[in-house]
Amino acid sequence: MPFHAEPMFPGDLYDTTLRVAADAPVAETVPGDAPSATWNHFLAMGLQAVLVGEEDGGAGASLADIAAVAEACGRHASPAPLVSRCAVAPTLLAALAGTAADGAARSLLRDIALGEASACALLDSDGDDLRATAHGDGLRLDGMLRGADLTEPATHLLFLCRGAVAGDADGDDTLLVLAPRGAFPAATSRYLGIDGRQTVDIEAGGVTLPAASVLARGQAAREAAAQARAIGAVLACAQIVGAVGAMIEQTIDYLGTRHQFGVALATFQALRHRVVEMYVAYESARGLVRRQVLDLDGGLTPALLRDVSLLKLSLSATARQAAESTIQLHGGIGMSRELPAARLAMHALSCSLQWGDRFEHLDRLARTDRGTADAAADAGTDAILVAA
Amino acid sequence: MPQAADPYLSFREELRQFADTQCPEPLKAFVRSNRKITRDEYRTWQEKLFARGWAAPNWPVEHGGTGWDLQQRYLFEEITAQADCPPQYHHGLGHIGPVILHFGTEAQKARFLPRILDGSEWWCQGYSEPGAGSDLASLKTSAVRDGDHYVVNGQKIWTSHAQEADMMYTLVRTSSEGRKQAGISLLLIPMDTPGIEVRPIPTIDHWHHVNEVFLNDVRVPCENLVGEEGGGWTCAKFLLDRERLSPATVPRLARLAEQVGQLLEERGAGRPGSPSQHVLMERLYLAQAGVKGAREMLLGAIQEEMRGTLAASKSSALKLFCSELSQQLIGIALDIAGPTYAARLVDTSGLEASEADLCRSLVHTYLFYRSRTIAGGSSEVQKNVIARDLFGA
Repeated sequence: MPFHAEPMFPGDLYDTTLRVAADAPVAETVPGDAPSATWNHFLAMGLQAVLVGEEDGGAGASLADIAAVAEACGRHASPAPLVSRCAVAPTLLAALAGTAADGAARSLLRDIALGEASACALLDSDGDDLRATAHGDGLRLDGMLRGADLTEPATHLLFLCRGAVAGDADGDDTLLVLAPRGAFPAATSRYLGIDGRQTVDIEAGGVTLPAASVLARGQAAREAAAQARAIGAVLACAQIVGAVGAMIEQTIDYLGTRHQFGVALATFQALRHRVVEMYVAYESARGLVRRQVLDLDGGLTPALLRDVSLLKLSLSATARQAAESTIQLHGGIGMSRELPAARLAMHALSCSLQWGDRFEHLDRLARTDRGTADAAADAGTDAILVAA
Repeated sequence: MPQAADPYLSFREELRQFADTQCPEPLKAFVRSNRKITRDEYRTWQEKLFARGWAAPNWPVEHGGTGWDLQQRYLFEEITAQADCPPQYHHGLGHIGPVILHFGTEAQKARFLPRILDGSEWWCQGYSEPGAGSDLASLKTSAVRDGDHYVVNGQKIWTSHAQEADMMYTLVRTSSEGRKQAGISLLLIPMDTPGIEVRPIPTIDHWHHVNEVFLNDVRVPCENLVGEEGGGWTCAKFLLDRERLSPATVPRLARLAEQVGQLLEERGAGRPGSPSQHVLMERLYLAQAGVKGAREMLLGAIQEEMRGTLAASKSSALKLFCSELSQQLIGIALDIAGPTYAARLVDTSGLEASEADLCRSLVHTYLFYRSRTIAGGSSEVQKNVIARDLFGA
């Protein structure tokens, strides 16, 4: 019985998502701004409601549930922006409950849960490309909004920028802004990513927004964004697990079917061993991701944020290894975009780069540990001084 | 002991001056940007070389070549790569040209060689088939004699440049008797012959490089048979044995290493002095050392080849080492280009300006270079060749 990947979080949600993702046609350009049939199906299934609390009309389900969705989509290299729309944006909005932005956040959460709104979270830059200045009672933007994932249409954009609103003393603060997509003009550039994701750059110069668009600022904005991105990173890892598991299955299948020199490729030990290396890395990665998802269910702590960076760093390496091995083991056909295994490889690579690539997480780990070491060293010095 | 005078000193100087003055700057800029080189760029450079009498560095003088030895050919490659001149298009000059020179009739030589030299006729290679990749001798495309024509039916795959080629040198099966190698023949097929259909293969790199070529009752005049009927495998093997050292690979790698080093300095990953930067620097230094090692391996192999003592495993070792090195280098480039460019591989809003963006070209190249360890003898096949030599069996 050849290898078959076992889902990390089996259940109805996994099974249903898998079926829908399996049926999705491969489209490399979406004409106009209409949602794909697959995305409509995902919305109808209530995937955007999974992580939204019951008090806001959501399912109030666990992170494991949305991780099941991510793994299932990963198995079919689905480029749908489900991590951003179903997890990152809801996490970000939920973090604002009880703040001044409570009303705006919860109203949007309710629409998201109903599938009537969909918020594209753009949190990769801390807003350096985009500045806000006070304008009447609100703010006026200057610069570009870069890299919005609009593979499926969004009704809202959630992003960071730098600047001030009316009445601010400090003119250079981080602002977390929520704006309707319609407040911005059409995209100036559209791009296809390596795995078929579609991102756009939007000219934001001259866009004016009311003061209430600023959901949070300063440390609060940065922390909310960091936590939401951490959830994004964990779910990107779940997508990678799904993709790598399927890559191993398909590679084994191909090596068993393809004959050269009168024998199946699967009879060559060198090729078998390379699959084994993928498999061992997969088992470790799968275990890590599963554990991390369960650990995160009680909420994010600084120690868990460190674990997320360790996870994303590690899974990024796994994704790269598996992607490159899969292509190599398929030979020429591995270069074809029409080969599902090649699309999985591109998807895994793409996920390894989203919500912080390995270098962003490496640097964060080093900073975190150095900070802790410095603090411990300081504490040690204090103790010695006290003892003296 | 004083070092012996460099016998190639004035030759180097001549090459350098030519590369500096004769390759148009826009062409160099194109090469520097790492975009995919098409027939237009190749041809512009080939015309310059032809005018100078350097059209074919690997051909004998009597057929319009330079008659250079391997050492001189290496210097030519090194100096032109360093100056960002395009490489030469290899299918005509490097592959079918020498085969026609050796096995072709006088009529074939007169018909085909001059147009390879001046760059006016473009060739592609019809070898691989869906069922015959590493195991090339299993090919099935058939050629059946009908009067003074062969009628060809079958399918080729991974045919680079078929979309822009005028001619395809094609391995076909003329007999299924005896050893499978014995029934293979080499035919020169004009691409505008009725019955040929070229379909692009969409690849992960989003560059149009390879195609499927379908041949349906394609009538090819018998005078386009190279060598004897059933002698195709001999021609193909002649090519492999003769062209097993490619003097161009290492100089192009060295240039890529320089470019990646520069990119790391300018863009980096993370802040200057960050752990990310250090990780990438180590990988770059290892690759730089690898390029130096590859250069020595190649120069040593060139000496051995000129003495006629080069073992097959040495050229396989070079192919293995250089193709993996090119992947290491382009892997660093991908890490520097990072999420920003991986998400922006293809500009679907059709803005021409961004085409010249080096980082985007490097992501294309990273994806394209996955084929470096697959095409032209996969790494796995090379390892088998080397191991047979090392173990003596």
